[in-house]
Amino acid sequence: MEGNLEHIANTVERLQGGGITVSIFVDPDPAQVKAAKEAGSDSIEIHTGLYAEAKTEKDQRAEYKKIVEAAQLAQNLGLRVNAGHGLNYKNVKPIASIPGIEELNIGHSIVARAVLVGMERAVKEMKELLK
Amino acid sequence: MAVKLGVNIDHVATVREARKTVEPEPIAAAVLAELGGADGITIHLRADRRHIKDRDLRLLRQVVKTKLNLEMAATEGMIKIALEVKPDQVTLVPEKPNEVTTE
Repeated sequence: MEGNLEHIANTVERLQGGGITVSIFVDPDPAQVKAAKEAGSDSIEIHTGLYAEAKTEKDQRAEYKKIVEAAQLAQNLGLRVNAGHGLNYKNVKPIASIPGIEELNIGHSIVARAVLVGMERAVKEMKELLK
Repeated sequence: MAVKLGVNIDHVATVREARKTVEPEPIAAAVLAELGGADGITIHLRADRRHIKDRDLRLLRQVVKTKLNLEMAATEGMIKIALEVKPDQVTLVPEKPNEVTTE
């Protein structure tokens, strides 16, 4: 997002002018969270891909901490917080428990499970994990 | 309060596009996801239209009763489509030609 903040801010304003809520997909990086705020966004969606793909527990803990801190910063700035990318039935619970995260966007793992058990059941099972 | 779940159905369209045919139907997937308790439906309309198509977005706008979240790049063409179709939310995402993602 760096370098084209003006373009993003203009886009956000036009979309909001049409009555659309705007979120910006960002890495769990304080600079990107602040840039989303500067661009006038209503929300951010924190990229959980590095957390999901971490090969060691240590790496995963480090990525998790970044997500927690980004969520906290965003809340302090008055942004609403969503998260997503790479989340599945095994790794979703710690992310779902982070204070301030309102919504998770999950695609691949649910569609993959839906192929085997059906979409309705796949969604129900994920919802159970978010309780 | 429990965290909400937005279900991204891009890969239902990916299977359809594997054969350039009409099934599986992403609109049906969205309805079933809502019946399963989804709080929202998310799709990414990409510049190359590799999975979700414009007709999917337009039909989903009429069918989705929860919240329709459109992921898109901040291009002029996409902004015009969003302002016309009016999803509940737009999530601005970077888009690179070779990335493998639903997001």
